[in-house]
Amino acid sequence: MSCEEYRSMISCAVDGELSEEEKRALEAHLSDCEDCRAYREALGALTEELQALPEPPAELKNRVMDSVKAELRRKKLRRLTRYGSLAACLALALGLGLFRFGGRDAKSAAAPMTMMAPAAGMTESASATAENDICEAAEATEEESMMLMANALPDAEAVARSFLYERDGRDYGECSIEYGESVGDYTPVLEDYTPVGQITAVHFETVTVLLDESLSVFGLVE
Amino acid sequence: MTREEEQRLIRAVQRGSAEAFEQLYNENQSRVYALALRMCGNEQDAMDASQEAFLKAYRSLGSFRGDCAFSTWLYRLTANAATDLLRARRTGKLISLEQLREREEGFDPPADTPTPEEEAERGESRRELSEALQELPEDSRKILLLREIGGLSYEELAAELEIEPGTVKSRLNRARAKLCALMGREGNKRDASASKKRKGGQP
Repeated sequence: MSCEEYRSMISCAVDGELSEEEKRALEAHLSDCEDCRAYREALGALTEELQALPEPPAELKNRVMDSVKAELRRKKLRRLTRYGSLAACLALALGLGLFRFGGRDAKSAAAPMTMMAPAAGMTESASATAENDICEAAEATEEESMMLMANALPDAEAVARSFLYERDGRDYGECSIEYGESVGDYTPVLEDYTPVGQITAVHFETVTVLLDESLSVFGLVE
Repeated sequence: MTREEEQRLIRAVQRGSAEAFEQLYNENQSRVYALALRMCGNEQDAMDASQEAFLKAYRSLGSFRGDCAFSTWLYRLTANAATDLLRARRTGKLISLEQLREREEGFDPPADTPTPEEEAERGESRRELSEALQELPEDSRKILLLREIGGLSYEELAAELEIEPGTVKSRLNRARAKLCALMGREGNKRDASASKKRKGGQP
């Protein structure tokens, strides 16, 4: 075998890809050939230098994680828009001040919402009908509310629930979280991600948000 | 990190956990950045290529088949991001910071750009290696770095580069021999011509 061939074996040896037999043959050659011994040392040093890892700049992590979180927010907010028409309808009803539920009575709140279940893809006329239903239900409830809950599942595949909430008839907004997902880490935001308040209480199916001003929440971000 | 831990984190990322992705980032950042830096030859491009690789990994985690380690997949994405970036540079679609500095008077470099003093401290041999790597043909650089930094096996390299395992062996050998020659480290008579070339001498 030529030195050229032994040098190819040295390259394989660096990668740990030599059989025992090849290793023995190589060692026998190296004991006789100074040039190939020097080459093996050179390759060993080269590998060591190549495998030395420089410290990545801290800025890289910020850039990567900021982008990932921004994509995650967009993903979560896309999920919210599935309930857009329902949310708009309910927000309008709230805005008109016609809509009050006894918040502690989940059954009375959930009943009219069941009628809203197909609301996500509804037409304008259907939407108006549904809104009337809500308003009628609202008018039928006299009790001043602390909290309002909507529970809508437009299709069997959906895993998220929409929540609508208000406090003292003044602050309201909508958000959606997944079943089993903790809302403790979430912040209510406007459409441009401006934080607008904080979650002050999380009950069974109800999220209470204390808003900074009387703004409606666009969604929640982690 | 074991494959099980990796799988657990990947599932968490797929469920929307940024923290899980941060753990995957922490685990792989050193090698990804080193690979990108050795491929690109400068820190700014290395940052861009690393960022691109991580984001691509994040976006396509759903299609990650898991037939290799996540890290192996990520190193392949890094090498390809660096290759794309270098290609864009060559075709003039991207302008480097150096070029920008030359074009714009009063160009304000980013705060983390090393000062000349810091550069000097980085050591002659590292610069020598970096320069020699840039003189290697791109294919040779890619296969060598995926092996040395990414730790890809011959089989993984063969699959990635769509070549035979035997060709992997010969290409790695050639890349190493060339790199040694470029750095004047062969230690025998064949060094002479290579050293001249490295110093910019005409053949």
